[in-house]
Amino acid sequence: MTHRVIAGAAALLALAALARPLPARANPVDAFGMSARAVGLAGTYGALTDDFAANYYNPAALASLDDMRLELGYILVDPTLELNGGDLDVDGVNGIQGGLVLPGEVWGHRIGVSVALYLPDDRLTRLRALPERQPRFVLYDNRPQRLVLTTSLALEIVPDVLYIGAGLTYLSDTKGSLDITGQVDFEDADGTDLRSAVDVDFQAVRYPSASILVTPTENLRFSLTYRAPFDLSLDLRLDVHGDIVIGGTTDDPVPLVEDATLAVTSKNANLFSPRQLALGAAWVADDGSWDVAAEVVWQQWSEFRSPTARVTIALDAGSLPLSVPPTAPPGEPGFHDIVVTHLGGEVDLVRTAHVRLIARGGVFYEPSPAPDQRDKTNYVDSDKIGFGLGLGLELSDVTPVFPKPIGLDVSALYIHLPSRTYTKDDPADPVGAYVASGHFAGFATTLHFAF
Amino acid sequence: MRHLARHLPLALTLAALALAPAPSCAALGGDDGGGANLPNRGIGPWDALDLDGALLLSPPVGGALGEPSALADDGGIRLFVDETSDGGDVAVVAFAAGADGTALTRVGPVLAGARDPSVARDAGGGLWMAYVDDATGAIGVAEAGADGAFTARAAAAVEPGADEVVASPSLARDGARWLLYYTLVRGGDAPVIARASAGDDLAFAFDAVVLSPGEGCVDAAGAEETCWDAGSVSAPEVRVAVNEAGQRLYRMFYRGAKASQGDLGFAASYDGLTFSRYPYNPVVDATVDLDGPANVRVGDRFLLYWHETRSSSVSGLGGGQNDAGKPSERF
Repeated sequence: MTHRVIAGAAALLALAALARPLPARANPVDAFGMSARAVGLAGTYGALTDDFAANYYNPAALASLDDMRLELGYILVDPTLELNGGDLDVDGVNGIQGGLVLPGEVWGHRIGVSVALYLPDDRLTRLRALPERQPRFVLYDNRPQRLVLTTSLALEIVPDVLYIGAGLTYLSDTKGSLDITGQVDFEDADGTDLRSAVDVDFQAVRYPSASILVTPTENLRFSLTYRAPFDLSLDLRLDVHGDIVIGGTTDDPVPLVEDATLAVTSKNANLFSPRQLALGAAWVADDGSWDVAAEVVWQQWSEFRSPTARVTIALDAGSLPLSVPPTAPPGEPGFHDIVVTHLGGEVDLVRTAHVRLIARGGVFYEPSPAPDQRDKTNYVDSDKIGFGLGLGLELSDVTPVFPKPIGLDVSALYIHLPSRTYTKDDPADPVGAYVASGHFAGFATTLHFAF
Repeated sequence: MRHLARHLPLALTLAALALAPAPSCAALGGDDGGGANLPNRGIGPWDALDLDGALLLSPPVGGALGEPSALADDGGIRLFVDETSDGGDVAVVAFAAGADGTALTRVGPVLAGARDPSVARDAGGGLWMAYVDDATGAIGVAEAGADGAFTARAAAAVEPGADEVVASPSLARDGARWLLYYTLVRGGDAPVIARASAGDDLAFAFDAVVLSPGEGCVDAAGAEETCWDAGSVSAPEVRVAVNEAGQRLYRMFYRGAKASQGDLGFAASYDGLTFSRYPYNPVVDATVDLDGPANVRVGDRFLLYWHETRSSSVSGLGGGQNDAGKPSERF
């Protein structure tokens, strides 16, 4: 029962955090999934989740679990995304996934607390703003390149029937400024004397999700999960203050302009994940030897903002005839909302008192939210047809040390992007027409211990 | 603890299985990818051919070279250019170039009394040349024989009207028809680019003026400014291309000028008549006068040749190449 005490304490801490007003949550598992079992089911996991991936798919399910679970695994997805048959060498996704699930009980109701982590091998996060015209597979540029740390809390409302849960994802916004002060010699560089100061803040932000799990019978499970939108920004500012002089190397420089200023700001919002609402249903056989599930996910891509930096430049050089023309603001991407459909199922291949071998598979279809790119922008995307295939091995009562099941899940993932042809209204467009296509191939493994 | 120690290997083995890919995969990625093999239309930027400051081709002593025309062959590139000798005779000379587009070997002359050559292939692979007749000032057409020499057709393709000058033809095969773009000067007006077309009978008929000097340009702040080609547009070189979407395109490099010194720009059209200017013109902006662009694709590289006048006594052919990304148009 010790872990139930721990879970109770953790739950109180989580409740305290949840009591504060918060923005939203999202993460790169939107694209490829979290945990090997979920990958094998092609993301059809809202109503079936029983591991750390509940942090993403359905936090409420944490309150329906009986065992403390420790899970660790790895995911690798290698993209081959092409324009006109040439591979753009888009970065892959590879990193450690894992988590801890702590069930407990408060005032006669089951609770569950969990933490999950996706730790990329290459970079914790990436924010970059490419030139507006540069073609890029916009959903796979920055979105999968980030660390995911989520915590969740779930509560059983009606015993064995209704559960609710909520989760938080932690991220960092970046705001930085470079301040330069001094004097600029109009004629002689040696007379220029500038001092600089750099101030960069990584501000913690939190993004929530919430879900409901309903299990009206032993066989039937329904899930409803809300994931709020998520939009990391990178704000940079350059401020230059000073005098413009002649004779800066002398003791008595002649000022041309006093208190001249140059202010450059760049606002970049390109790590976006849409608001989502996922509705899932599953049927589990009486003896648990097979299950099937379906899920539809609404994604509000219409809120997607341009990933191109908005740059403003303001120059005040007094009476000097100097000016900087304004830069044109980036165009609106014009994305639209989509509904993603998932189907999946599992069946026992072997089931004995100590060994269980499970086969699983799934498929999903995700229409592209990106419109045709007939003007300046080249936010490339295509529909996605994904397939998951996996095996799960569970060993039970193998030793007195591990009386609860020890398991290893291994899954393969393949996502196909059918060819999509982009043409331009302007025949002199710098990029011109192109054909986008590609696929992703990957796998995931998860080792899980129950205690 | 004894039990734990005994079964720890099992747990560690399973953990190793789950994480086995991690060390080997940690080296992947991390190079800010996504920018390889981007589509390249071959419009620019152009890196000057590495000639140590020399011209790609200089005229004979006392003579002059005119506007080039480039043709891609299996063996590389052939340049055609009119050469004026010290004695004043004019002839189109073919220069064979190697695969890199810079090693030139003189061949010819292939046609006498002709300026501003433009060479194109017909549907059967035969070579045709449009040129300006040095004697009459009309645009003529000539056909290549088996020996590589061209024979001029008796009838002119485009006769200049009264008070008109025609120059710098660009011949292109477009399906079952021939297209002829050329510089047209009417009276004291600024030079424009016009088009005539013909069937296999080569009876060219005037179609339209397809490009006029630039106007309506605005700077980044939205204020009106003088276009870089506000003074004149001339010396077109039009290629009929197909892009990766299967669309037919008409690619035009041309000379534009505000005043006397010219730079090179690009325009394109879906119908061959309505041309849209490239937003980042001019594509070759030099401190010397440029004229007569000629564009060709060789493998994954694009080459652009031109005539440049560095001073009153130094002129000849120059060129640049563009090999960024993956070529996205065939011509």
